[in-house]
Amino acid sequence: LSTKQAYLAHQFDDLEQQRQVGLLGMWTFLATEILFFGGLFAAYTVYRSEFFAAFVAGSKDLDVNLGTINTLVLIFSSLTMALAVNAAQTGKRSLTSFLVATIVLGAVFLGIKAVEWHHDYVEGMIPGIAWDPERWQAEGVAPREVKIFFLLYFCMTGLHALHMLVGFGLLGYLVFGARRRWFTPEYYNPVEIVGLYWHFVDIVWIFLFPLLYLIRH
Amino acid sequence: MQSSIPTVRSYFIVFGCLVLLTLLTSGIAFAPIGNLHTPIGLIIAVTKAFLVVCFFMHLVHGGKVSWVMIGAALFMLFVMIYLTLADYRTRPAMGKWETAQNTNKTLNE
Repeated sequence: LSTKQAYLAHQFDDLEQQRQVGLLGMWTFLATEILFFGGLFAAYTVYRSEFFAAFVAGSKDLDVNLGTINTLVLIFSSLTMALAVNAAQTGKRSLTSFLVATIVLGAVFLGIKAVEWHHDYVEGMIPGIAWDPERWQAEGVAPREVKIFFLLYFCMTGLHALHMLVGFGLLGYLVFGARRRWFTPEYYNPVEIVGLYWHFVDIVWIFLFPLLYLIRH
Repeated sequence: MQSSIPTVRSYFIVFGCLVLLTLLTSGIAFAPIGNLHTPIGLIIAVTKAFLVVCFFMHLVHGGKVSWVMIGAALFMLFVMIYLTLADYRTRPAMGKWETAQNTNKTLNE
């Protein structure tokens, strides 16, 4: 078997057709992901329009500096992911390094998120686990309304973090494959497809950041 | 589409734009602009997402079917949010939310 035949699944005419079908499959999955997160964005929109003052109060208690740093870290990881896809397309050995860099930056993001969540725990900002209503009574907003903001905050950032953990698994698989020279300029579909997923997770955060952290300060 | 591999240079330019837009959106959060924070934040977020989709996700060259997928998903997202809001905003007869203004009983939970 030649290399090309080994990569080509029998239902496809050629590698380019196989690649395009893989990309379309990933985009279809991402379309369902938009609606998966969309349910939370819809809930956010409804409650925010109803309890705007409480959402402003809750947003003010999030750390804009850490949020900004995390946004930059995630954008940086998207850059290393794009460079990994480029390395795979052009057959460069740097593929493994860029994939590992993407994982490391993702881990930094989750590390900062863990620091934030720990702060929320200590300060009593987690509904149902560590909740301190007096914090917001002093500000003149109803604690149960702020509770909805924080419930959405933890659901949205939690679901996003879960997607990053899945991304770690996928990237780890790619590192495993890259070290065994699975990918060539003729066949790099898995790298490209995981790249699409990673960039999508980045885009979700690009929207979460202003909606949760930057309502008003 | 196969032949047009984006240059590494273009990735760094897009990255630079994304960093600048992030710093801009964080800075604007502290500006005294009334209720405009979220509209401006969303415009910047859409711009950033567009950059990521076009360049990092390679849709600037072709990818017509992928654009259809994105369009379909965004249309359904619009329907979901619009109809949900239309429902909540047009049924005062079923009773308003228990807000701080109309109930004190549950205020301190």
